[in-house]
Amino acid sequence: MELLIIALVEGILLGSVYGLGAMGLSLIFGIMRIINLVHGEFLMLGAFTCFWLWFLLGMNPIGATFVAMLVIAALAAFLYKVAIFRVVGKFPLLSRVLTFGLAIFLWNFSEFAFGSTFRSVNYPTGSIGFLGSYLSVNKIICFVVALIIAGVLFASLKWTRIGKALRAASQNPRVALISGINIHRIRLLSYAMGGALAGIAGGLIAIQWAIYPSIGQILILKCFAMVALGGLGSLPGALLGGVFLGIAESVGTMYWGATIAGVIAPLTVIAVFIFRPQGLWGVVERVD
Amino acid sequence: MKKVKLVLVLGLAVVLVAAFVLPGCAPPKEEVEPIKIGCSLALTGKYSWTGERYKEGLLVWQTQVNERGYSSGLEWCGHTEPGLIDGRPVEVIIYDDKSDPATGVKLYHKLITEDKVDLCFGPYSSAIAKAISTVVERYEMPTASCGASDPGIWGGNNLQWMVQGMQPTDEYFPGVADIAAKMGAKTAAIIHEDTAFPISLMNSFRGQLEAKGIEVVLCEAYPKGITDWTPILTKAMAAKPDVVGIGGYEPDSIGLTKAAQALKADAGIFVWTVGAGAPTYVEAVGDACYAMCCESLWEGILDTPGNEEYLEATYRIAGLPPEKHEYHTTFGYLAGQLMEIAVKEVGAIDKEAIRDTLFEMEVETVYGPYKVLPLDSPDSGFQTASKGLLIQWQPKKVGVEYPPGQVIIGDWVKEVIYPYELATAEPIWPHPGWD
Repeated sequence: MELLIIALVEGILLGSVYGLGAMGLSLIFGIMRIINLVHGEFLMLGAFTCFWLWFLLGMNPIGATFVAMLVIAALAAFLYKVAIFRVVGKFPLLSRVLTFGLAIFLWNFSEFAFGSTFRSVNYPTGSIGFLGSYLSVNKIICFVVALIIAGVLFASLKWTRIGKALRAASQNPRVALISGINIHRIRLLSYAMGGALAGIAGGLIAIQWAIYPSIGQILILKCFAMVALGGLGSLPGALLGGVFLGIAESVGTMYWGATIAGVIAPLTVIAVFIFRPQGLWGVVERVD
Repeated sequence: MKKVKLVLVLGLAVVLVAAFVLPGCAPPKEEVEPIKIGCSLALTGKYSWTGERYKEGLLVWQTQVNERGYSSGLEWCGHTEPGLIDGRPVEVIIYDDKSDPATGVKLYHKLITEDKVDLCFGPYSSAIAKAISTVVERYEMPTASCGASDPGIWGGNNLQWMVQGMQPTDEYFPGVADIAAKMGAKTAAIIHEDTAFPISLMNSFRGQLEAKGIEVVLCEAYPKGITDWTPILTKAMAAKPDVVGIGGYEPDSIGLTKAAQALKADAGIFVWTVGAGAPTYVEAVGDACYAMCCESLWEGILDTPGNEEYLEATYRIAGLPPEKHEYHTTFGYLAGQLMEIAVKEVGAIDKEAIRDTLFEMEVETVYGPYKVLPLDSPDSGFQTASKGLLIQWQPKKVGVEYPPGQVIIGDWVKEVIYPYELATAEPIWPHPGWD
C-alpha cells in the first residue's frame, strides 16, 4: 500500500511537468486549430535556455526557468510573425508541414549549436522522508511551479479581458472578430503563450532529467498522448492528461514493469479515441 | 620539296622532344586516389554523444596517417611516408545514422554501392552493428567494428567479413561481482534499457553476480525514451539490494544517479554503464558522482604502445585534453589502427587478404591487445584478447600528484579499482550516503 501511495505521488509530481508542456500544445490548438509539431523543440529549447543560464551565468535554476519561459515566448512570437500566421485557417496539412519543417530545423540547429553532449542542471536541494522512502525537493519545487503557472493561466483566462478574448477566439473566431476582437493579435498571443508554457516546462525538465537536442522528439509524443487524453483544446484536460500519464508511468512501473507502463498511455489513448473521441475532459464540437 | 619535308619532320621532332624534356611540359601527374573507408555513426539521436566521440577518434587517426603514414605506437607497421600505403591518403566517409538501425542499413548500402568505399568501419551501438552486419557480409566488405560489444552479433553467426575490435559485454563490469562478494554482498538489483546492448550487458552481469553467489532479487527492463527513473529505482530499492546496476546509455546514467540521490538510495555499490565515466557525467550530477562506478574499456593511464602520444595527438587535433579523455574516442582510433595494420600487412587494397589478416592477426594497439576467433569458428570475428576495467569516482586527494592521463574533473578523480593489478585506488564500499 505504501509503495502504491509513493508511486501515485511520484506520478503526480512527474505528471504536473508533463501537463504544463501539454497545456501549451492544447492552447495553441484550441485557438488556432493547428497541430504545433514544433512544440517538442520549444520544450527542448526551454530546457537548454535554463541549462545555459545556470551553467554560464550561475543563475538560480528556478529563476532560469522563468527566463526560459520569456525567451521561448519571444521565439514563438517571432516564428508566428515570420511564418506561422500564413498557415492559420488554411488547409490543415500546410500547418503540419510547416511546423514539422521548423521542428527539424530547430532540432538540427540545436545539435549544431549545443553539440550532442548530454547535460543536466545540477540543483541539489535534498530529499524529504515520505512513507519510508524519500521525495526529491527538486520535484516538489517543480510541482509547485507547475501548479502556480497553471493556476495563473486558468485565472487569467477566466477573469481577465485578454483571457475572455482568447476564449472567445477559441469558441468562435468569426463572432469574436465581429465583436471587435483583434483575432490576429489573439492568435499571436496564444502562440507566444503556448511557447511560454513549453519554455517553463522545458526548464523544469532540465532540472530533473538529462537533456539533449533530440529530447523534443520524445516529449512531443508524450504531449500528444496527454492532449488526446484530456481532449483537444482543453487546458484542464491537458493538465489532467499529464497527471494521468505520470501516474500511469509511475504506478505501471511499480506493479507491471516499466516496459508495460510505457504502453499504458498509448493504449489509453486508443481506448479514448474509440469510446470518447472528444477526450476525457473535452466537449463534442458541433459541425453545423 | 624534299628539303621542306625534312625541315618539317625535324621541326616536329624538336617540338615533340622539347615538349617532353622541358620542365613544365610533362603530362600532369595523376592525382593519388585516396583509400576510402566508410561508416555510419550515431551523430544525432540517443547515442549521438558516443557517436561523436567515436568520430573524434576516427578523425584523429585519419589526420595522423595522412600526415606521417602511421598512427601512435604503430611505427613498426612501416610505410612511414604520408598516407596509408603507396602514398595514398585515407578519406574517412562518415554519415549520420540518427541512432537508427534501419538508417544504418541504408547508409552502408550507399557507402558500398554508390560511394564505392574500399573498406568499412563499424557503426556505434550494438543494435546498428547487428543490422548492418548483413550488408557488409552480403557485399563481402572487410569491416572493423569497434562500437559494438554485444556477443550476439558474432555468436553462432560465423561472420566472414566483420571483426569485433572492442571488448564484448562479457568483459564489462569486471570485478563488480568479485568486489561485492569480498565485501559480503548477498543481493543485487539490475535495471536496464530494453535494447540490444543493455540486454546483452544484463545477461553477462547477471551471470557474473550469480557465479559469485549473489542473488539477483530484481531484474527489470525499461523502455528506450524513459525520462524519469525514480519509479523503477524505487521498486529496485524496495528489494534492499547490496549491488545496484546498470542502466543503458548516457542519459540513463545521469537520470539514475539523480533518482538515487533523490531517493537517498542505500546500497554497497552503484554501477552504471556508458557515460558514467565521462567528464560530462560529473558536470551533470555534481557531487552525486561520489563513489559511482562504471565500466571502462580504456584509460589514458594504461601502459599500451603509443598511449601517451595518442593523448597528445587527440589534444592537438581534436582539442581533447588528457585529463578529460574518454574511452569512446579510442573506439574510433582503434578501428583505424586495426585497418591500418591489416592494410599495411597486405600492402594493397585486396579485400579478401585484408579480411584474412583482420581475422588472423594478434597485435597490440593503443587500446590494448587484439585477437578474434578465426574464420572457421562458429563465433568468428568475436574479440577474445581485450579486457575491461572498473572505475569509480573518488574525491581528489590533497598533495597527491596524479599521473598524466588520469581523468580529474573538479574535486573528483576517476580511479581504476579493478583489475587489482592495474588499480589506482581501493574501492569505496559501501556507498557513503548522500549527505
